[in-house]
Amino acid sequence: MTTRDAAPYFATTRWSVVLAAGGAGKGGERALAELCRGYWYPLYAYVRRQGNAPHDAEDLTQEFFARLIEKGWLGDVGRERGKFRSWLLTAMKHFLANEWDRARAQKRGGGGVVSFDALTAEQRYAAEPVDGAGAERLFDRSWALQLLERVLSRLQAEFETQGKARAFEELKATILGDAAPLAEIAARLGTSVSAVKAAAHRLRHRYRELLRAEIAETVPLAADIDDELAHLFSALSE
Amino acid sequence: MNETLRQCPQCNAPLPPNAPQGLCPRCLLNAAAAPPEGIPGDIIDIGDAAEVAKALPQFEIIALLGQGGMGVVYKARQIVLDRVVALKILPPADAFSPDFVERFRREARSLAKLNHPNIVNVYDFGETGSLYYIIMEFVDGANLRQLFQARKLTSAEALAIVPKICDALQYAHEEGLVHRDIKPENLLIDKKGRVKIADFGLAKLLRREPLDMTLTLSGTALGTLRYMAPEQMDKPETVDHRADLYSLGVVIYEMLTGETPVGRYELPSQKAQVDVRFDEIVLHALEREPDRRYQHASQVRDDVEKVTGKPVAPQSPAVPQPPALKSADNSPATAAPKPSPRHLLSAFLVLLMLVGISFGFSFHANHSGSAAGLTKIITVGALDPLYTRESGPSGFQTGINFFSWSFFAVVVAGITFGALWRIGREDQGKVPRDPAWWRDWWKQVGVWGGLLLIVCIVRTVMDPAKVLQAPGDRTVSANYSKQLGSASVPPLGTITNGIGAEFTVPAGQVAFLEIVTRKDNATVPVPPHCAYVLAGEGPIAGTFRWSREPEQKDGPFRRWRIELVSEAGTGSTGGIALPEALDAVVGARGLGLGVLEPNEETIHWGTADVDNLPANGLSGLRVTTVAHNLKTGGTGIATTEWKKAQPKNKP
Repeated sequence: MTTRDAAPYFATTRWSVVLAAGGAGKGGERALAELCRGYWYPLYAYVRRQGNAPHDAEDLTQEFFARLIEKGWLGDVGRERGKFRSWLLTAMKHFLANEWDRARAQKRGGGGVVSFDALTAEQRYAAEPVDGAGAERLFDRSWALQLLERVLSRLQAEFETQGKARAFEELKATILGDAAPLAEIAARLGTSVSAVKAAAHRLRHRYRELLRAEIAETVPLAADIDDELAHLFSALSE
Repeated sequence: MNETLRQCPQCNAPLPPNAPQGLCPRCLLNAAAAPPEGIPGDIIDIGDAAEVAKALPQFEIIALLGQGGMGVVYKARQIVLDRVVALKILPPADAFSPDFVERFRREARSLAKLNHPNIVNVYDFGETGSLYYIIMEFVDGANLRQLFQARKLTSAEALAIVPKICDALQYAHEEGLVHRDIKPENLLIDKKGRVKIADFGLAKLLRREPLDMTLTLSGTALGTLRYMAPEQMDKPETVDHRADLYSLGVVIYEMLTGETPVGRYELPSQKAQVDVRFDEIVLHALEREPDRRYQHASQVRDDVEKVTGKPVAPQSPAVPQPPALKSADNSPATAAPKPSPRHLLSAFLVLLMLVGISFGFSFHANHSGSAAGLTKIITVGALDPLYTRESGPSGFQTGINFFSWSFFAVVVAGITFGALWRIGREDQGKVPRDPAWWRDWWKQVGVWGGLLLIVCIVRTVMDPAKVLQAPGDRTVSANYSKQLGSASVPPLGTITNGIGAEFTVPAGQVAFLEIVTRKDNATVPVPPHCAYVLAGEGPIAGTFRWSREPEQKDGPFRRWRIELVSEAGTGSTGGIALPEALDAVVGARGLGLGVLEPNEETIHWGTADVDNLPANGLSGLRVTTVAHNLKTGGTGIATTEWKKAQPKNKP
């Protein structure tokens, strides 16, 4: 959970498990499937932005995951111990370049190994700004948003299990920084400003923990967390 | 989809439509990238009395009492009630964990319920902004650690407070509360010498399990680790009240020796001049497995009081000792010999062994020594290994006989000898003094000794004859008893080879003879056989001729015909003469005379029972006839036949 900066290698994070397994064995496979489940949308967005129709994009993404997980592609692509995000994108490019025709020829029927709702995917894709950004940038941007979405949901869930869903709704803005109107929040929650301050501090602390842990799952080294953060930040800029 | 362009309040950039939770994603990432925040400016430095005073105006802060991983404690005056209290302010870092507030309230409530003279009272608790505090009874005194360091407390004085601590722990444990952090710092002693346990349950409130602490804290936590039970390190979720008893064990060890037990620690009695019984107490409290530890604080109290309440207890602390001896190497070797309960134990064991052995032998002596005439006959069989084995009890019965009293005595001797041997080795330092070994020993003694004792008693009650007789002769002796009543006659003397010793057989009595033969010329003596002669109306003197019937050889045994060759009628002396031809006879002796009941027609030598031998599951020699019919045979011939029985089915 906590990011131990001293640890040189995350022996237990999913991506490091995948890398260590070298694609072989159930452990690596399961960890990879878990990871893919969390980040299928950025890939879908990438494939769509490449100019594929929604239906094709869905098939291609599914097929990609199928090959990745079921057919042990990992051995080929996972040699350099990079970040999961860049590795996944490289693998997808590779897939699109080489497997294009064959994938289309043998259309998969029904659900794939990583289930996702094509309708939601397409809805989300529709919400993407039409700013002419390249597919690769879209991939990174969606990735960053996906990451934040996951972390915030987890944080929200933690509050909800403590019966503090409303507090979370009010307090979540304080994560961003000190611009949040503390007095208003305090008034709405019926508590003191200092209590809100303390709660905000706790929330931000926890958020930071969760986010860094989430990133840690996708990078091989603890030192890479800040690097990945910076990269995603820049992807969101522009 | 809300298409209105919104702005991030933080960076004023427009919010993208797919902003997670409506929050600016860039600022979100930025928040995580920012260096870890310290305590915000408006959070009070709880170590600063002035700031605390400002935040808590209802208190007048008098002095800082202590500061550590569990927060800061002030001596303060609660202005409204005008009472001096201890004000404990919890570390702010803990207040940031998400469920802290609930935990704080819940725990504080259960702590406030504790009401015991040896537990620091919790008056109230509260929170002001980010400040969480507990108002407690102020104890005017010092903690045990301070007293240790100031050398103001002798180990005897320190031990005197242990029962009080146990009482308080027992009370709290019954209330379902575990302290989790028993250590000298938390044992307060006021100026009147009363002990009070502080910070009850705080470790749980602050989630200060050692694993957390090793990650988050350094010095203070490591100090505390020495008092933590193993399961607090390994399996914090399983911790129960017995963890406190472990910690108490460490504290007692420190009271006794001035050090905490680390790694392979020495026993208290090896480090200091203390009663060896404390070794047992400390080891029991420090058992790794909670199940093997003391289960209740009251048990510790009882054991400690057993030691401290007796005159043999610790060396009187009042005796002033030269400082050099006290501080420098006060090794056990130079110390005066301790009054050791082990010596008492040794003496007790020796006594037990002697009693056991004499007990067993007294039984043996009982049935071999009394009633001379009869019992000697009984021993004939018993002394004869072949006879015993062949005609004696079957395997099953032999097995039961095995547990007779004499065996009990042997076992008692064995286990006591084992214990003595162990004591010797421990005293020589060859093996460590290990109470666990002794516990096991007592357990074994209890189980096996007890079992054996029960078997012996039951068997004795059920059938005394079977137990109290030597094995193998039951049948024979039972019949003798029956037929001859309580015969008590002198032995007849020894008969040497071939020469009959003369003896007198009074009217109505029977003489019993034992004849030892050998098989052909072999050197191995054939087991003694018994024969008897009958006296006639008056005393007779008879000579017996022994003849052999070679065709009826059966194993190592011979069938003998014992014939009365001459009768002396009314002669008063009798005798036995063994023919020289019978060179296999190496000796014979008259065993004694028996009383013959006048109305008996036949003298049996186990006839009835012997015939039933196979039915009894016995195998071996079968005595077919040893009888003399008084009516038809007069003083006729007695015949003894020894036959080896056909092997019976194994029982």
